[in-house]
Amino acid sequence: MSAILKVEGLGKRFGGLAALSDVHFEAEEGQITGLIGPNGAGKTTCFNLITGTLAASAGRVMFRGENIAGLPPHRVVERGLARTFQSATTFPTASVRENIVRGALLRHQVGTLASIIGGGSARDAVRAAEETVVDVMDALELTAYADREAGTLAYGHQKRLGVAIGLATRPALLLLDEPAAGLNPEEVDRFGSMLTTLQQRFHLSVLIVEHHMRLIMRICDHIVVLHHGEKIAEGSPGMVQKDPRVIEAYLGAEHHVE
Amino acid sequence: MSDTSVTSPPKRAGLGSLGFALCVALLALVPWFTGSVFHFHIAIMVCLGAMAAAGLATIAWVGQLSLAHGAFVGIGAYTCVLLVTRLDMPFLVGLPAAAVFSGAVAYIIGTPLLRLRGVYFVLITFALNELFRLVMLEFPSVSGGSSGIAGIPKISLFGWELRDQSQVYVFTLLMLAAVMALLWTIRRGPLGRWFSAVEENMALAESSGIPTARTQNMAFVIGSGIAGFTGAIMAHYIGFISPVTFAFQLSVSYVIILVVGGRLALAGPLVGALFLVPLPEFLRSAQEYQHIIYGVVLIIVLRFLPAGLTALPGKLSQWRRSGE
Amino acid sequence: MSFLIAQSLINGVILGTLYLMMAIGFTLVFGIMRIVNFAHGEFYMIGAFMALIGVTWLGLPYAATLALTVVFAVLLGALVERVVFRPFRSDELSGMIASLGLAMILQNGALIFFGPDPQAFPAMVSGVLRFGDLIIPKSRALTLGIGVVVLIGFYVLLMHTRFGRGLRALVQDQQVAALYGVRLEIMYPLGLGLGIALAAVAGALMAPLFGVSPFIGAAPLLKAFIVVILGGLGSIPGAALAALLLGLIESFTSSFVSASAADIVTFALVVAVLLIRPSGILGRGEA
Repeated sequence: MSAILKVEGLGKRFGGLAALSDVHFEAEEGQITGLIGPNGAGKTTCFNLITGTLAASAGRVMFRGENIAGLPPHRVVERGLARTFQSATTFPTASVRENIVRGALLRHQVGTLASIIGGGSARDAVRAAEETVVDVMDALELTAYADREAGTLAYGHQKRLGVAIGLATRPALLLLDEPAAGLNPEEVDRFGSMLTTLQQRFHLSVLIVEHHMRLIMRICDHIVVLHHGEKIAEGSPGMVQKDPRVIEAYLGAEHHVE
Repeated sequence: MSDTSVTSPPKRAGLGSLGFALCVALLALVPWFTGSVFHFHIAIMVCLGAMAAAGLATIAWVGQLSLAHGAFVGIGAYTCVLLVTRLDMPFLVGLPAAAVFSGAVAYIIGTPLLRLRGVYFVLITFALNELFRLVMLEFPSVSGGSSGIAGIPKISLFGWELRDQSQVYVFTLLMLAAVMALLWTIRRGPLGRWFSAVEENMALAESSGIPTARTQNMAFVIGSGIAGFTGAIMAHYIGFISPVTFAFQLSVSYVIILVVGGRLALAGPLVGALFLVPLPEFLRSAQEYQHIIYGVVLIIVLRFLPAGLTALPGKLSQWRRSGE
Repeated sequence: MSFLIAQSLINGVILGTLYLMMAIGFTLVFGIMRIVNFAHGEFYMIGAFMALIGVTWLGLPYAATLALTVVFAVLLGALVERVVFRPFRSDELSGMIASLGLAMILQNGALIFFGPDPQAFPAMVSGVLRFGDLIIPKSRALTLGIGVVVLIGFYVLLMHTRFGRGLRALVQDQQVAALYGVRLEIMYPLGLGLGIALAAVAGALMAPLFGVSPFIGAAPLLKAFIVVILGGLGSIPGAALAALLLGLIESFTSSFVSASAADIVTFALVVAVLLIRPSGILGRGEA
């Protein structure tokens, strides 16, 4: 077993404040790795650093042996690391199919000139992208909505579409930012099973940020816990659940929140 | 409804665009029915307005509104006119050179410029248009200064000079058709998908692997290149240019054509120009009200038809259905 | 030489005052309504015509004319907010495009009503003030004096009244302002009215110096743009600094170099600031 993603000494400061400091962890190939922690623990910051949305202040992000820290987001996706967003993020006025095509085109690029004046290669690219789409829609149970405008879908379906767009870029590692937030319990269960199916069907490794503990404990092979921008624990779901520092972090945090 | 979704063209929309194409073809023939030189002139101006606005539309498709479009028309006009009059180049060399040079200028300034979005991009393009006028006025040896360059030779193709309005019209119509065909191809292909993605949701586009900065710059280069292309034809048709020709007012007139026609539809610039350019001729008795009418039309369209006149048929059938 | 410098300084301050009145109104409207108002210069023009009508047609005293101009401009602003801008509150780009249409309507309306020719404005005062070698025409001194009074009045209104606090809250954050009981339905029209009134008063004050025509709005609009971009959209202290700076730069470059050089320098400065610090010289770094 080998690590597809290695986060080494990752840190981010906003002004004088450290949002994330010296975080190390690995995500194994073919596994689902969970990234959890109380609110404000730095999970989303960590995500944004890995995907290039934010520039890291320190550390490296090794993806399949290459340091991708500092690359712009579209270059990161090109290397096979796709992400979804916390909120339901789609292209709202385009059809579901068109939404997914826009992601799928990444793997079917044509030259600059062909993209302007058209021609066979441009047509082939679009056709090939549309074939990918059929597959992805099927896997995420969106086929029935193919021609619906994305903005008119139910919230749960829009979140699934977000995953579909990411999946269409044919990633090796998929980063999911709170995919279950805003879903009802039934949808959460359904999403959990869908994810494990997807993982096998598309040979995915997954890194998931989630608050929904039952989902995390059910699907993750390995869990990393952040608190106040630092890693406080990692291990199997069973181990993490029993870790006193984790329990304290969550209890303490809840104490602050309530 | 956008015409980019080739994968799912509803049948009604297909019929609709066929009807639209027929209407446009019939309208294009009007000057021959009347035979009036003046109508040929109006038709040429419609084509030129639509062509420049189509360039502006390309930039709007990535979500940016340029108020420097008039300046790019000017860059193309000056490029072609100077090549033809100073270096004795044929028009058919000057015309593509105008497009390429305008596009090249856009390419150079595009990267820093397009980091700005929304009103900030509008403001900087506005400032650049003013800067273009001021700088050109400073170099009268190039621009002709405030008295401009007059007596520009007519369009000539392989030594054949287009003397008649009707000849110029055929040429301009063909060029417009070529520009529209180019944009149609772009919209159907991968680049058009990228444009819409960037326009609709920049962050999602970027994380779907779309190089958003490069995509915006391509739209800016193509749109400004089309502006320069239009400028070259315009200069040789009208026969006179000066830095003031390409000032703020010209940029605003293209914005009005585009917004009234429809910012995101392929047919938007065409519909806008067809509606607005001949409008003053129908209101000849009230010519002094022309600009007021433009202003009122602009505000009304923004308010009630934000997607422009091209969205009117869809809106109408929507109203009819909700009325039933 | 020192005389020329002092004279340029005075002229620069007068220009700076004009630019500041234009820019504050403009930036206030942007701050409150998020509208880049391309019609702002036309309200300057309308103010100048109001003054012309008051003084020459109706024979009113200048002070009464100025007061009437303010009242009329506030009402006009409220009307424009209701009819033109209200639907575009959440849409910066459409609001800006609508203001382009509004500018065309106002300018060409004035053209039809008053004709294209510049009209002379009677001098309000004559003679000069002397300070040693320094000569200031009384008309300029009057304009400067009233301008400064108006600006101070505006400052007090904004900083020390309930209405002013409401406006400032609105500039900071609409939703929070609404939560704290700022009544948006009243503040939007009044805010726009106030911004427009500043432009109109500037027009009425400058009319005796520069004359009146339907086309006089373009230049002050341009200056307001420049000031506001240099100072940062929505920032009043930034506008104050930039207006004074611009007035002085213009007055000195046109005394010592040339007027067109001044224009090119300022526009190049605008482009540079937008590229390097889109939030303006004093801005907070968000763009």
